[in-house]
Amino acid sequence: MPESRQDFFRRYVEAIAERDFAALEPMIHPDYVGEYPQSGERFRGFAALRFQLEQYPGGLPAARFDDARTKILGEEERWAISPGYTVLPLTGPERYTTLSRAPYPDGSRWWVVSIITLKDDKVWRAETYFAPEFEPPEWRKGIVEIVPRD
Amino acid sequence: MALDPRDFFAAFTSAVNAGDREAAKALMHPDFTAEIPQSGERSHGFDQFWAQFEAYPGGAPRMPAVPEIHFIGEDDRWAISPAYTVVPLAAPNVFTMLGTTRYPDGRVWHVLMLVELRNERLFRLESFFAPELPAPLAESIATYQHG
Repeated sequence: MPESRQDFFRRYVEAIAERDFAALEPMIHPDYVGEYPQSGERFRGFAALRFQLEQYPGGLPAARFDDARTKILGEEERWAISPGYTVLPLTGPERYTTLSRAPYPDGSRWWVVSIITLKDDKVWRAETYFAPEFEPPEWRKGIVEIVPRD
Repeated sequence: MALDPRDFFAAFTSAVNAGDREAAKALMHPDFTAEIPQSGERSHGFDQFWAQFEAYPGGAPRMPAVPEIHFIGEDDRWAISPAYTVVPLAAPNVFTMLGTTRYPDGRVWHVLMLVELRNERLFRLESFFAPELPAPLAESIATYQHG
């Protein structure tokens, strides 16, 4: 039975968090391109991905897939019924949005939103954004409900 | 015919940026909920959504116009029926939208919105705000001054 996308992304996030490069490398497409649009950085290939993970100042955030806030958008399977009444998976752009909340070594928490495109069942493109947590502004407190974040 | 999300959001952002309350309200589901997970804020319904725009200090930043928004998840999927007709599968109603906005202080932020439409109205909106930062990003994050 093929691995579900949920399981695939679980392994992917955990391999990054644990710097398990032996597990990570087979999940990365040979033509991988990663981007950080916030800073304009782009890196190509597994070696560049590994280098920037190894050099991460202060240590990597401890993202975990089991966090209840983690989610994947776009994971639903789409199926077609063929003229022969067989059920076939539809092909199409395999783009997913993954959302996780990462505690950093300095105690801060950032939301990590990644737009990931898979090709040949590997991570081919990853466009990642980092959004810092912040306190609700005073002027909005009378308008909105504050939901505990922890 | 399925709702075209680009047409929908063109109408929505146009109404919001123009301050057209009634036009914006007509595009919003009665059970609309908006969340900003970064701060834990949640609002319910159109009135709370609109009140935030009206109360924004210095004026609310304009929403990115649709040509500037990158939609993810809008691809239609099609199936061939046993009778050889081509029928659309359930119209996609969940999208990720990426855009940028410039705040009154001149800073540019990336805005990521996870959006759900229901009954051709805006039903759920989960927004994330990511500041432009100098490269290398990892160092900028490590030294980021949380305000």
